[in-house]
Amino acid sequence: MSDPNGVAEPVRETQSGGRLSMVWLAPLIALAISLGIAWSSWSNKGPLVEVILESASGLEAGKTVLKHKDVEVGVVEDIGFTDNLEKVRAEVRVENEIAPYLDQSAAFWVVRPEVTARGISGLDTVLSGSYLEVSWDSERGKPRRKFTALKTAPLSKPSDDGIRLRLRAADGGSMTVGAPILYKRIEVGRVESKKLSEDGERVDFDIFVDAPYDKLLTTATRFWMRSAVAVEIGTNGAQLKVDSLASLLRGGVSFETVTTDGAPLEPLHSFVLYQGEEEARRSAFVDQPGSQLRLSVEFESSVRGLDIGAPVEYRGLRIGEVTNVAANLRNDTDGDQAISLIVTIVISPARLGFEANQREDSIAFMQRAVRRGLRARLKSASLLTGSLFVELVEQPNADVALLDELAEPHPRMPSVPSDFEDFTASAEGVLNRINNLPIEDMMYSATELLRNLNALASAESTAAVPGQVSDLLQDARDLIGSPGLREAPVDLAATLAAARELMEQVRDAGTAEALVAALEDASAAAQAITTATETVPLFLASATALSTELTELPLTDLVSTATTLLDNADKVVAAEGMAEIPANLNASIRNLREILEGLREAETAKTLESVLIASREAANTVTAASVNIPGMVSTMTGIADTVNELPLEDLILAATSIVENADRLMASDGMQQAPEALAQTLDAARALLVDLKDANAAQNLSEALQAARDAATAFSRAAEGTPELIGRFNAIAANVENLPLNDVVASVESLIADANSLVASDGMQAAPQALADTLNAARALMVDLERADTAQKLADALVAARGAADSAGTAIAGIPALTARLTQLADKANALPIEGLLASTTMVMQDADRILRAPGAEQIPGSITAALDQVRSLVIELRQSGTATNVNGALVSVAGAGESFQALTRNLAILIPRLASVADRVDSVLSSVEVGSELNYEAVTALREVRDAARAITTLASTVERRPNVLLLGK
Amino acid sequence: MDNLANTRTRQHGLTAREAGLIACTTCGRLDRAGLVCARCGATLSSRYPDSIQRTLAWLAAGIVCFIPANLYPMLITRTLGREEKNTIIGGVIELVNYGSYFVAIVVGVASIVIPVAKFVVIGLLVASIRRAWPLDPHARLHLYEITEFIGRWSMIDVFVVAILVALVQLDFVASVNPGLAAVSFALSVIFTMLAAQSLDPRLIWDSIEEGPSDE
Repeated sequence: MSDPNGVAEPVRETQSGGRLSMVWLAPLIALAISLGIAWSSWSNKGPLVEVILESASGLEAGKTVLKHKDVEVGVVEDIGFTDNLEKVRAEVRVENEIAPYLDQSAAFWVVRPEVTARGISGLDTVLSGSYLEVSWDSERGKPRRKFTALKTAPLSKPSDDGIRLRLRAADGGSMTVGAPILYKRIEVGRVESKKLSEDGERVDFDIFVDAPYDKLLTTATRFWMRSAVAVEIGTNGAQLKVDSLASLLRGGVSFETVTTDGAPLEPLHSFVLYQGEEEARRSAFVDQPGSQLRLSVEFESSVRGLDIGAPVEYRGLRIGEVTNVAANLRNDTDGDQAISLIVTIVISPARLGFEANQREDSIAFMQRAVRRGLRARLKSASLLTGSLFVELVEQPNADVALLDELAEPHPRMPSVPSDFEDFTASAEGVLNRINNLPIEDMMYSATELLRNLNALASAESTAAVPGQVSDLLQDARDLIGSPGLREAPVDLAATLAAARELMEQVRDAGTAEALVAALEDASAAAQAITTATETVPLFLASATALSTELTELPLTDLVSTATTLLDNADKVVAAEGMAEIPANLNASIRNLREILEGLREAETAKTLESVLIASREAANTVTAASVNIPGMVSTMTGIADTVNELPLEDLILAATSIVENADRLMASDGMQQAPEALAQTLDAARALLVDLKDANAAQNLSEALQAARDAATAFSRAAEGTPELIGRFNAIAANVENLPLNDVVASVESLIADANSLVASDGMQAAPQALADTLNAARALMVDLERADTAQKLADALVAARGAADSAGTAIAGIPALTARLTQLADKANALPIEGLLASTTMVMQDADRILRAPGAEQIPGSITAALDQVRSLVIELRQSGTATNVNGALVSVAGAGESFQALTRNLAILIPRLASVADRVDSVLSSVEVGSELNYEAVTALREVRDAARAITTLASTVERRPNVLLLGK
Repeated sequence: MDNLANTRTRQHGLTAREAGLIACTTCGRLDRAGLVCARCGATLSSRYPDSIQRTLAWLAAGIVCFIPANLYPMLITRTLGREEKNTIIGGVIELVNYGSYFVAIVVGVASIVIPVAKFVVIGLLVASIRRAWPLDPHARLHLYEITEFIGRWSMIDVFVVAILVALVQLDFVASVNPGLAAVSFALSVIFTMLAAQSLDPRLIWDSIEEGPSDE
């Protein structure tokens, strides 16, 4: 392919020239299979059969099936109307194999749930819906494609074995369709239809007798209606027969094959349906012309009471019946004409033991019998009705007579006069007596009973019962077949899946365990707080005693001047920046609350409790100490009196001007900006607090508190020596009272005046601006501090502070001794020549005054401002030069310093007086903490939130306890 | 040098095909056009052999199978003795009647729109190759890639049927059985995917360069 130059010819593959790919087999096979499936389903498709229905109730196109003996043989494909919209036309696709059987014999009907007097049927269709049923006989006939469905399910199907017969009755009686055919009270078939014959004279019943009972039937069979209630009044007395309630409602047909000479039956053979059993049995002797012996009898007497159908008896055995009574004109032998009564009777020789069809034998037998004296005579059948029957009697001593075989129309049998006239008279007496019997009442009662029964049976409500039950079942079926119910399983499945998913999530998250742990923590915290709170009242009592003591002290002065200052402070407070402070403070408090939660975890409550106990003891001691204060106060009052006498007016004027200047200072712009700077600083502080919280400050604080408690205990012990000290002070004050203070005051006055001019200088007025700037810088520094890991360092520092506090506690333990020394010192001081000291002081003051009046002093404020500027720039520089890191280092050093301090404090007993002033401040702070303050409000709010949270948890717990399923279902 | 003259001047360089080279799809060796690879011995071909023809054959098979898939029932559901047969479209209509429009759209798109669209797109690509329609080759390549990617999603229906049949067998209360359409539909999707795979996308620009395919 390649040429010498190494450049190949381009590839020129063509897409296969004309050759067919094997892949084409795939569509061919697919096509063949598809066609095969189509052909097989087309060829399996049976013919379409049309079924005309009264209504399509319960039928659905494409769903309702056609069944035969509960086997599906087709599907309803379409439901529509017949051409004139009168009826419903269902097109049914039937299977191929059954198509040939759908001939004349096939019957269609809709199977629905039905309640009839015979029972409940089609119950399974309540669930599955209605379906079409078809039945046919086992023979193939000429196929039909159009059928009319039966209105109700047929009582017997074409496929049933048995025989179908027709009964004809004079009237319908109480028979209903579906009434049973009974043989010895066993149901062997049923009435299928009841209709008026075409000529309207009879009622035709179609009945069906199941195999194998059809073998019981011959042409000699007689059918009669069963009456539910039968009243028989006969020789045995009156009898009332009431059949079962079912037969009362439906009626019924009984049959019996009376004679043995019947022939096998053809289908649809017609029988007479007799009204009663008696009539039926009698008829057995009428309809058998071949085997019957007909005779005629001539009676001389009246035949009143002799009906057609009256029996013929021989010695009480019924052997036949009367078929005709007629008058006959007879030519007498003497030429007269006489009327005689000819009664035709039919005798069944079989009853006498002759074989069937032995007519000649039976006539010969009758001839012999007549020769021996057999005669016919009329006999009264019933005294009540006066009816007659024919009796064959043997009277050997009767006149000789023969059976006149040649007489027309039947052989004539001789008769004898009846003997019943003889006892007619006595019978009349009997009848009279019978007449007196209350038969009417009985009959009336019986009639009433029958009427009631009839009313019950024919009542509309009784008739409506089956229909209503049927409607009920129909509704139930509609309900179950409704789409909503069919959807329900799907929805249920989806819901269950979601619930299971939720359960798994809950289980995976371990929510329950976390909840239990949280509850346990809350319980422990609550217990700790309770324990802590118990000691509070005691503390409060002590504090109250202390405050009572303090209240009694005379403190009234300086208020008016302070008011002006407060006004200015108010302006400062009202500044815009100040408004942000509460918000910041709130945020800080929130952080504090979180810290408190940390404290709770660190069991701070218990520590606090100990602190409170110690504080209470300290307070008690202070109370005891303060008993001596009134004395001191009175001394002080003396001092005040003395002071009062001093020329304080000038001093106050000077002080006022100082305050005014301070006021101006406060009102200056720089000071107005200070709150804003302060707010930002607080922001930074809050951020710092958050960090503190994150660092393990709480634990350290707890430990520090423990140390504080120890210190407080020590302080308490120290305070015990205080009263004596106060006594000494008292003495000192008394001495002071006697001092010549006037000079000092004058000096102080001029000093203050100078200070006033100093404060009023421009430089001092500029200072606030510098202060604000400095605060800004400080804030920036704080931010930096926060960014650096200061909190952690602070925590370390706190650890060191705790150590220091421990040491302080130890140091304070030495205070009593110190107090004793102080007492001695005070004694000595008391004895000192203070006059000389005061003179020196006055001189010092005067010198100071001179210094202040010196020309250079005016320049000092400017210098201070400049110095502040310097400080500010220094702070800025500090910040820029990464001071925060250094501060951290410094804090570390502080921690170290704390440790040094710890060592130092052991020797620093002199520091105690300062600690006393600190305690004063603490006191003032405590008194400033009023009920309405912001801090208190925040604390109360926090407590309320805790309480609400506890309530919410309680509610949740009880809800869960009552209804655990809310965990699954949500609330 | 005549060979070089035959190659058209173009901005890009010489393609392997123009240089008479074929890359072996088995081992990756670039070889001179020959019958077999010199290294691994695999059969060499510059384009899929019989690509158009195979594509058409699989496409035809897919369309043939798609017909019974829509005519016969997909699912045969029996609930409380009541039997229901649902075809694909019948199922979609029923879902719409129940108001589940979203599910109806998903089923309708996955079962009807996507298969039909694939038939159309593959047919269009083959026709455009054979008749050298001057369509944008880049757009056609995109069409081809989308078709090949999206084909497998039509199997969702089949999987749903398989899962339902396995899960819902509660005897009298409810049971689900697959209909003839399930198999037909699966075959149709498989055949269509094979058709998309058989199509060599390189023929798209071949047809532009060389005129109508001579197959």
